[in-house]
Amino acid sequence: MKNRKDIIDLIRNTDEETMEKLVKDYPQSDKKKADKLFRRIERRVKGLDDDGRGEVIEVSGVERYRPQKFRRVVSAAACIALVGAGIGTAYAVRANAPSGKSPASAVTEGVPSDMAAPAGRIVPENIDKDYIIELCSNARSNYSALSISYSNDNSTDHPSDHIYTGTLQIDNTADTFWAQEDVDILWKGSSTKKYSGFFFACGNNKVFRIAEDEEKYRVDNNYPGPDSMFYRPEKWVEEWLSPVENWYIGDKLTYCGRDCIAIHGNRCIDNYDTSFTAFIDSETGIPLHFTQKGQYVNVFDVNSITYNDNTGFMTKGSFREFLKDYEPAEEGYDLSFLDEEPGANSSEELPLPSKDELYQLVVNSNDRYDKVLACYETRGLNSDDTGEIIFYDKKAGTVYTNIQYTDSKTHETLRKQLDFRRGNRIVLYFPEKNDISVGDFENADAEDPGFTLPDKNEFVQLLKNRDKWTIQGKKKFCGRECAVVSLRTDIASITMYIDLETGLFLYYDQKDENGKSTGFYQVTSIHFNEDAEGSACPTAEEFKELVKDCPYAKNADLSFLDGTAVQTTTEPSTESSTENTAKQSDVFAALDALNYHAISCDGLPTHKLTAPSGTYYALHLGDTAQDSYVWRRPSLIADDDNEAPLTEEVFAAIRENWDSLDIVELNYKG
Amino acid sequence: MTDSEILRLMRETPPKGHRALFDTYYNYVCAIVTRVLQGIGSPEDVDECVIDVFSDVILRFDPDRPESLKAYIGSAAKNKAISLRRAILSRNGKRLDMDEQSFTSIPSGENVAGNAEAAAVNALLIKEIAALGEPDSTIIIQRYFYNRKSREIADIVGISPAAVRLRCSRALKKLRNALKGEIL
Repeated sequence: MKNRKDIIDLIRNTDEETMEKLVKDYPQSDKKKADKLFRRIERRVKGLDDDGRGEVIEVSGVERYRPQKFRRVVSAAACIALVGAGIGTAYAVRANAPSGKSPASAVTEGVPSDMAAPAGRIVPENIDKDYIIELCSNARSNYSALSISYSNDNSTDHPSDHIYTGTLQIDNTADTFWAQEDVDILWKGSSTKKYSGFFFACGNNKVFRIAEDEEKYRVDNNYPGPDSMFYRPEKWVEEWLSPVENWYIGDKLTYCGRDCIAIHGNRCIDNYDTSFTAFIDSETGIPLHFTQKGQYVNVFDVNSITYNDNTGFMTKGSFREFLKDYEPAEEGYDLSFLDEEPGANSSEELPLPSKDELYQLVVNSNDRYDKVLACYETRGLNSDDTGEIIFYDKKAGTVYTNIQYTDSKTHETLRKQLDFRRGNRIVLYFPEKNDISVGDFENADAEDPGFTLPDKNEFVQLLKNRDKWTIQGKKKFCGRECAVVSLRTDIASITMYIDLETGLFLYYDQKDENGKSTGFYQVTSIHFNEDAEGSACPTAEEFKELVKDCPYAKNADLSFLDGTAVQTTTEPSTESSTENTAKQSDVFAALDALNYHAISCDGLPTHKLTAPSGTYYALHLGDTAQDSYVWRRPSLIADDDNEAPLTEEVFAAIRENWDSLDIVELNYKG
Repeated sequence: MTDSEILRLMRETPPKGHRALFDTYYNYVCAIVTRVLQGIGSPEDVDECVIDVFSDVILRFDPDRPESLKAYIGSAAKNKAISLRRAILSRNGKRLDMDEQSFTSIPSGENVAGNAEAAAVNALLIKEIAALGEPDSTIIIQRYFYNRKSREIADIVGISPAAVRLRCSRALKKLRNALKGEIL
């Protein structure tokens, strides 16, 4: 354990089992409060406010819903047919549960490691049908990953009753869909027969288990897949929400902890009047409950739902392993789509790092390679550009960029430009004018020019505040395994793909609050080290030779292009080492930039530091930075709870500027 | 009480079933909600959220469903708390990314290697917290697991808030020393 925050984090982030044990061993010890809460719950359930009067505003109008149960029986053949008509799935079933591991099983139990809400759709105050149709049709674009467990009670007039329970996972970042379903058929309501089926799709490739009495799977890319609201939501919308006159919007309600909109409607199916009710997640368009009553009755209920955490999901590789327990129904299936993508560096997947690990990876990205050759494209407000970059090794310390600017509307080429940079000095060469410009490259780290498009330092600054971004999952991009990062600033939301091996930004998409793109960048190909060698990119000497006849070159100082080795090998930097040593005036800014957490003042401060603005910092100064903390008033993150461990730099800066700071010793007797 | 007993009561005598549901899962729901609202919500927010969660379960969970009550209530608590967290952030003018939910990092059960290590760490943590003895064990858990303030804990353990802070600080140091070198 590095410090007390580690201990606190550990207590706050225990696994499910430990959490349950702590709950059991250390209950809240406040029965009076618990009784009071229960009384309020009772009143809420009865539709009364907390004083026992009137309706509760939050749940006003919510119908008291109880799905109806129908216990009827059908033949097995009819059952198979009905699966296709069911809401949850369309794949058929067969005997014996698969012996392979089902990653979904764990998802239903615990709160996942990166429990994330959907991707940011703002739900309007007044929801209309257009919103619902658009929301549901594009449901899969409203989250990056989805995990659901559900039950589906499907009954007909036939003498059997069958209940499906299942799990499904959709990983939009990997374009995979996995569903597994267990079916209980209750013969005449007594004996039970179980079947199990699965379906895995990656893009248009589909593998499924279809037959009742065979241990075989099928691969059929023409197979439509589960015709459900999950796999192909637009089909579900077409089937149930068209025409719009057939349904109406009901109440807002909460289901499975999610805000939902109830919709009710009628349609004719096979000459049977069929009524339906759905609870639609108002943010993602996922139906969490669906009841259909007509020729037969279908009741579908989501039991647990988790967005944007693909931990433990069935991947292509794990599905290939899963399939080993089954025989192909026909020989010669092409399963190459389950292979690793071309360009993957190893057969083993890189683990998804923590935020701190990813941040450090980005900070130290230039230590992960010697040379990079990459092509990229950007889209700006007025012009686009495409280019080729090579980052030579540390000895050369150079970045060469071949850029072509185009008009974003007409796509006409505006100009071509060759840039060559060493350290913070840069030459811009305009071949059409045969002219150059020489200057300083702003924000450049002279010792670490790096692969700086977009400018790495800007992103390091953006990522510094860990509270502003989340890791959404992994995605293969440009043949590289990337972390998908979602970041929001005051004015924009940004999606980034960061190479998990090198920490490089391979994709960047920035949108304003209206969803309008305000910045886009993506690498279209990238090669490292030996693979980057042999390109046509010039060396420093060659570039100098190229521009030497330009008129301006005669008077310009191009000496920085001379020689080869200007770089010194640097140790991998740490987060703190990237900070400038705080000067006196920077002490307060540095204190404010610390990583504050919601921890109240459990220890006792040793000093009080007051800023000219009136802000004061209660400091616990130990012998080292590791034993030192600060509590800020007012808090930057919560009303009264906040604490940050001091970094070496801030600790040193306080000591350095001690005499000029308004700092007084406090004397607590514990 | 088991889930099936609770569900039977909910079917046959709903008021008793609701009370059994609450008694069994109150602390569980509180733990999840508290975790999600860490550093954001007030104790009143936590209470409101707990009420919402149980109301949701009572109103919506069909006792005849062939699924886990615990899974539903865990999912409802988590999702409701996330919504509340976002509402609070929005109310406070902090339009932060609503995906920033890493505060709820209860590890998934499928990362076998990672979970084995985490399980060992957690087991050691539980052991060392118990070894602190009372009232320190309770203080630590009430403070950091349930996010209670010193004055609330003071009422529970019967000592002054200042003494709670002092004991909490010392207990953390003890834990740190006990776990130093053992893990991480």
